[in-house]
Amino acid sequence: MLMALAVTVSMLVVGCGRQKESDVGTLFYNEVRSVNKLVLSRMTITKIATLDDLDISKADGLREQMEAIADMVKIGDRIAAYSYDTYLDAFIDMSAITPDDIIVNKADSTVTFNLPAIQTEFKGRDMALKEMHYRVTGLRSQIKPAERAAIKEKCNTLLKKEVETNDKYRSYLVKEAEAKARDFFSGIASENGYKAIVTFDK
Amino acid sequence: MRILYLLLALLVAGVVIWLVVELRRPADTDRVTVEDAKIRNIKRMAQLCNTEIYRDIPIKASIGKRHIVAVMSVRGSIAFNLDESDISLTGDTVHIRLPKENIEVLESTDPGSYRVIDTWNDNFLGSSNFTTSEENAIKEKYRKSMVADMYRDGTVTRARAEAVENLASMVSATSGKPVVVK
Repeated sequence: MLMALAVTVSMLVVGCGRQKESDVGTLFYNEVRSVNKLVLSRMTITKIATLDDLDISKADGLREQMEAIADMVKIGDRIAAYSYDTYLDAFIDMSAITPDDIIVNKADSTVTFNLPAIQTEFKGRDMALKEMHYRVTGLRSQIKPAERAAIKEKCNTLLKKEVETNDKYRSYLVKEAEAKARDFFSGIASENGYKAIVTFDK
Repeated sequence: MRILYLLLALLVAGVVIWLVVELRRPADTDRVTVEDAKIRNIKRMAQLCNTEIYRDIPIKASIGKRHIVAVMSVRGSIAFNLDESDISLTGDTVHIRLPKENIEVLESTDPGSYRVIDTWNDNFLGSSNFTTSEENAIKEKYRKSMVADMYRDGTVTRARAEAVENLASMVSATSGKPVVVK
């Protein structure tokens, strides 16, 4: 009886921690925004992920060790590799340019463009996932859409962290954008017989 | 003897609780290995973007007796490649031909931008799985539908009108001449 009581108490403690099913969102977001951006450069970043059984030598904790052992005894292999591209844009907000920021000097035939600081943003990622490799054999289950969605989500989280913590991505993109801005505005100025001087806010 | 049984019961309860907590602990490593990001290319451009669309698209599709329901958050934009525009001067007026619009619809990079809610088969024992290419084809169909909607509901026409105004204003401020953009 005491044993039964002990097991019952354990089950109650465990039961309290059970997660609830999350509700499907009933409100679908839909917004159209007017913007005025001049996109000057775009970086295409590829992310590759592989799905394979757990290696027991890398398993951490009882749960993973049990899963790794379970993978070893399963009949067949389950290996896949996926990739997709994400796009990072550099742009200037043209709505921040005022008439005072464009200074025409007829005396020395120059036009000075004082441009706002170049900003960067993630434009988006490919909808399609490229399946680089897929091998599911024996009695193993096929890789499902929900698993692929979770793989893409993990890649997305890691990619954003990499870009935020390593300045090389943004600084390289901004450098290319500044060069393009100088070319572009020089072209506009030269069409009117002027030489362009381009500066950026910091 | 009773104390012994009580201690034994507490021990069993402790082991059961520990086992469940340990098994429920999220894995620090899972079956997915992600490689470091690789820069595939960097392209310079001069794209004037004046419309951005943010939308959650409910996806419901069927292939035979298999069905899938998902939600995809997308980010669309309408832009004009100014490197492809023609600029000419007639008398005192600058004429600019605006190129065809470039409509882009991508999956958002916000967390949870693609969520699979359910897949099922009308046959109880049938497979409910969708291959990667089937799923990609379903997404592509929704992307094309969204682009068609943008033409149908006038979003593209309005974007073009705004681009004409923005570009005319920018070139006019530089040249000091009247500008006609088509």
